[in-house]
Parts: sequence; C-alpha cells; structure tokens
Amino acid sequence: MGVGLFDGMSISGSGLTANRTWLDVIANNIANANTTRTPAGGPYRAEEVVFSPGSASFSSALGNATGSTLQGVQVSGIVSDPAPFKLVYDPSSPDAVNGYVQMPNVNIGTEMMNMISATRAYEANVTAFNAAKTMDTQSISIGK
Amino acid sequence: MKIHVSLLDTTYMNSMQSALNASLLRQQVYANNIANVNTPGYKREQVHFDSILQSQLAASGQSMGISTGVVQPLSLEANNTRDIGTNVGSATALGTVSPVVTTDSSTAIGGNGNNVNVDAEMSALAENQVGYGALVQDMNDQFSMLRTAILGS
Repeated sequence: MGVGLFDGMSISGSGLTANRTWLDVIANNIANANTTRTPAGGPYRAEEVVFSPGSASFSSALGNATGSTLQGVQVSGIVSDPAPFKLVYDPSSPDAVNGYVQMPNVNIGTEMMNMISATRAYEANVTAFNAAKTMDTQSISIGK
Repeated sequence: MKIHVSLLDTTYMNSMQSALNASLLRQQVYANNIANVNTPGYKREQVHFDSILQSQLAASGQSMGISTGVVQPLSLEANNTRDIGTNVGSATALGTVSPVVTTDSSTAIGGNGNNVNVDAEMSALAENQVGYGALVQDMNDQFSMLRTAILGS
C-alpha cells in the first residue's frame, strides 16, 4: 500500500470542510429560528447535514479506486428536518390563522448541542492536520 | 560475543524505512477515524505493524538495529523482483514488511453505528506523532554518523 506524503493533511482537510459546513447549517438554523415566512411559503424548516465517508479530492478518489479505504469525510447531503412545526398562540401576528402561528421546527437546544459537537470535531481535525504537517516537515528533513 | 554494528547496516535502514511508512499510514488512519467521528455507521480502522516486524525480526534471529554476527536471511521475501537490492537478502526482505489495516467492527458507542472513540484516537495520534519524530531523529543520527565516517569531520 502506498503512503502518500500529503494524504494525512487532505484527510483532515475533508474533516475541516465537513464540520465547517455543518456549522454553517447550524448557524442558519439558529438565525432562522423565528422565521415564519419563506420564499417557498410557510415557516422555515430546520436543516440537517448527512455525513458519509469519502471526499471530492482527486488524491482520495484515486486512492479509493486503487483500494485504499482512507478517503476522509464529506457532507453527502443537506436534508430538511421532517419534524412538525410548532404552533404558537399569537392572534396579533399577521401570519396567525385562527389565532395560531406556525413557527419553525428549529430546536435551539439541539442546535447548540450540535454546534458544540461540530466545533469539537473541527478542533480534533485541526490537531490531526497539524500532526500530519509536523510529520511531513520532519520527513523532508531526513538526511539534512 | 562480539557485536558488529555496521554503519551501512541496510537491514537497520530498511526496517527504519518500513517503520516510518507504517507511522505515516497510521497517522492517516487516525486522521480518517477522526474525520469520520460523526459519520453514521462508520467503523474505525487500525494499523498492525509492530507485531509483524517483530515476528519477522525474531524469525531471522535479529533484534532491532543490531546485527549479531552473521545476518540470517529472513523467511519473508521481496514482493517485487525489481526492488532495488533484492539480492541483499535479509535487508531487502525487512524493507518489505508492510503494515496491515483492519476494520474494528466492534459494537458502536453511540446509537448511530459509529464506534470511533475520539479520546482514544487523539491520544493514539499524539503517541504516533512523537514516535515518528523519534524515528526521524534516529535516522538523521544514522546519516550523521555515516557522513562523519565518510568526511572524517
């Protein structure tokens, strides 16, 4: 099995990209926690990311084709949360129907928890990236 | 017993090279496990190398780095006849000790089928990184001695 010098960095890089995307989606959910009107009509629907092994980089695609299973991670999709909207009694709202307003199905508690998970995972990938970088730097110093 | 430690000990250099490669691969496997820490259904992977190298060294009656007397040929053979120095015997054979990657299919910690334990991966990553630094240092020392022997200064 061939071991590419910079593969470690691209693997961790894919983890950074995936977790940053997750963080973006979480931020968008939190920002729209009270959005009752969307272009599609109705309140905002929370979104979730789907992680799967693999990334779009050429070296990992090549590695995949040649039998290596080390392909990093990717966001394979962003899907809408099917959970029902919350109904809030607010007759004064222009969006009220029979006194009730449909509110987004964003659960702030869940979003905050996911945000911590994404941040921690991002940090772990940074550490792994730096380890790969240090090792690669040491590699090119051999024999100097 | 007289112990010969040759400066041009290719067995040593080749096993060092194998160890460096295994360490690089290990870094990538840990990085991949960490990258997939939130991937549903992902099973962590692990690298086996030390035990393979040790059994090969034991089979040839050698210990790491020191050749005692006559070097016995190893039972392991070079994978490729075009490998440089195939005829050197044991030296090349050790250079072909390849790490093996296996999947840890043990049950998941969480409910999503993922069995990556970040704490374990991070500490293994740190350990591997330090180990790699030691290997590089050792290799550089070896080259430094060689240079001193050749240049005499």
